[in-house]
Amino acid sequence: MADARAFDVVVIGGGVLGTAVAARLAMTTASVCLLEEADDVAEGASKGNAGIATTYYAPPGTLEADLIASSWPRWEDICDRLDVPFSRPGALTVAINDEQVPALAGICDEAVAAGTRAELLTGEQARELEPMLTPQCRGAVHLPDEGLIDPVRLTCGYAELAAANGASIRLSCPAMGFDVSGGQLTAVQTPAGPIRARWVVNAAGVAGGTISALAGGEEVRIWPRKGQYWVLDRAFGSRLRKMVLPVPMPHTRGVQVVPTTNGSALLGPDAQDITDPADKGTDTGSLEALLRLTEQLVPEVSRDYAIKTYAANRAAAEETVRVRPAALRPNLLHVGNRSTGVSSSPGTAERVLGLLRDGGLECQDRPDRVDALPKIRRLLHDPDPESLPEADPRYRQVVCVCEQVTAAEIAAVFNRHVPPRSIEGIRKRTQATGGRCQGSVCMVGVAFLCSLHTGQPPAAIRHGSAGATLGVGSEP
Amino acid sequence: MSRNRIAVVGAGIAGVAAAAQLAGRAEVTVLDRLPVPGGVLPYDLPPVRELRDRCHSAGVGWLLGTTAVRWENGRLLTVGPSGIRWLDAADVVFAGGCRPATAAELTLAGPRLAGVLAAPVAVHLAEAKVTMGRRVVIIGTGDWARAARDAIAHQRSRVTVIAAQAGQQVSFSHDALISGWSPVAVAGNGRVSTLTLQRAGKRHVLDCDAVILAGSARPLRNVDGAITDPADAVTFVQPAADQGSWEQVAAASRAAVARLLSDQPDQVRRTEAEA
Repeated sequence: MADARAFDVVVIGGGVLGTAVAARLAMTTASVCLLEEADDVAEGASKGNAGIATTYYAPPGTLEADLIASSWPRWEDICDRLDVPFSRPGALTVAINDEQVPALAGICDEAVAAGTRAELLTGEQARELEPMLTPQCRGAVHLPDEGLIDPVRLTCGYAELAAANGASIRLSCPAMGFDVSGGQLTAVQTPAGPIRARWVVNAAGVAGGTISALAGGEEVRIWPRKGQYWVLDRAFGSRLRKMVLPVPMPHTRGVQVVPTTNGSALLGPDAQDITDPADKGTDTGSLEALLRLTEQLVPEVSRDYAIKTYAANRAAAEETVRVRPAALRPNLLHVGNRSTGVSSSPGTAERVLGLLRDGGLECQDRPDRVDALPKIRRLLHDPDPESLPEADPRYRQVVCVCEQVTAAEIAAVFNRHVPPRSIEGIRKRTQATGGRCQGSVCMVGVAFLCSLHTGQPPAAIRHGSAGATLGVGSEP
Repeated sequence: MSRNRIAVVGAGIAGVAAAAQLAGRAEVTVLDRLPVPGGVLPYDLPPVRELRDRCHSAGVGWLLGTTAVRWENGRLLTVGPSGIRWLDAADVVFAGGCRPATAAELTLAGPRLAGVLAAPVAVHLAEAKVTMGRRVVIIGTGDWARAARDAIAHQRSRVTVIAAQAGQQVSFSHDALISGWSPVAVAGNGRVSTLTLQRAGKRHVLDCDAVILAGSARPLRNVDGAITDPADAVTFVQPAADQGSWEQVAAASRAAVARLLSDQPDQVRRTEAEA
């Protein structure tokens, strides 16, 4: 029996990159442990992004372009195996005035050089592909292979696959320090005691710089870059055929109008460099600016369709993409990505495995590895909804009407290796409470089901993953 | 046959008043998520019983305990004790009632925090013995605000009510009333700790550990395909606010249904000929 406190690889960070790495390594003979500070995976930038599985972001020949190129053709297969919603609607980068038109040819050429399909369109051609586009459109680049993914379900899927293959997933378990011997890390200190490790992967997102410092690695400067979003109703989003992007700015891809895999639409993100990674607040001025910017792309954008607003912090850094050993600690690998973590996650995981093998980790894919998760049928998307109750009678009980989530689906996500631990955890896995009424009708039912499945009284049910409960206590 | 079928979604007073009016002129089916008619009114309230009886005797079909989730291509996806079924219908009369405005609809900025809850959620949690907060702010003064106040009355919380209109009075007990200020932002670390109010460019920050959203009633729309008004073949019979007596709600519903009938002379004539 393996020592529960010693692993070949300890991965720090339960975001999309950390879980992707853990999922890949767990399919091999290596032993893997994943540490996450929060009480759930996908609590940082991985739950606060637009869910674009991009085919082109960086100039050819860069690490980022290589990672994306080795990832995007695989999405149909990966998402099918991990039960993650995915589609490939394609994207339009849109010039809304004559001054922006010359930039389009360069974008188109670079995308083709990076290995994806791209075509230059006139304004009329672009509006044929996306009738909601502004009549001001002077031209566009069409990237037909751009994909849409549910980034939270992807992260949960990676974590679930890792666990199904024997990885130890430890939540509410921050890395607080390291034991070092002979210049090598030997153990990660956690509140639950030390965890011995032959290799450590630093996939801690915004906290990646802190982890490097704790480990005695080189200075890695990472800071939170806040992005705010509006979520618009399916009544708007379901009519949107394409992702609509502006001509990019020097430091950001700009504020976009994109559909999501559940039919809603996102407006955002903006980009604001901040200092406090816990600051996830929206502000009225920024939200108004998002509406004004996106109206220029899709005039029908309106706050009348607004379901919610939110903010999330991506991990900005001068070294925008890191997949490499630390300078001073050869058995520590830095893994991080400012913008394309979701899009590059499969390629990044393969690259980490390669680096570990180069460093002397002997491991082979196990013949008995689990490579697919059981699928949960969802009322919202099932092609044959009438047959659902035969599979589970609890499909006859709708809990969240807005998002069409049944008691059967909520029960199914609790029957997993990495189940939800809060109302937010249920939302992330099922969308319940995430719709247009924001739980006004269903949050109580969701809370009571959470009670039922966890055995905790309603007063102990947490709202988000920060530990705060729905109320402040209970009456005798 | 289905050309003359009308599905009424919601068996509150608006829904049963519409169904009673339509009965005899179309094949009417009434659905409600709850197992009894009445909606927010007691099921045995005399006007509810009277309308229910009129529906019964006119042959209205009932699908109670059944939730409608989707309206597309002339059929309604229904989910209930007897299973998941498509219901063919020429028209939907949507009588979904109201709900309080969400944080996004109030343009309440800030992070997403525990302790910020819609009034119906707070009421049911309080009934399950969850203490909502020690310093509770209720945004709104109408029926939901009163219901939330009543539900937490025994919890010994300090309750501050925020009223939109300056000088507005509140008919239920409270510890403080702030009128004429608009809530603009929440803040806190995991749990809400402040609510920021604004009036004429001035800001006021209120300490709190719970914010109950109980104002600015919106029509509750949760059936895909029947969200925006107008929607294809959907008549909305939802009062504009949570004010208004049941008589007013029922009268508004009958008027909307009368317009639906007058818009469809062919259908009505054919139904009458069959009758």
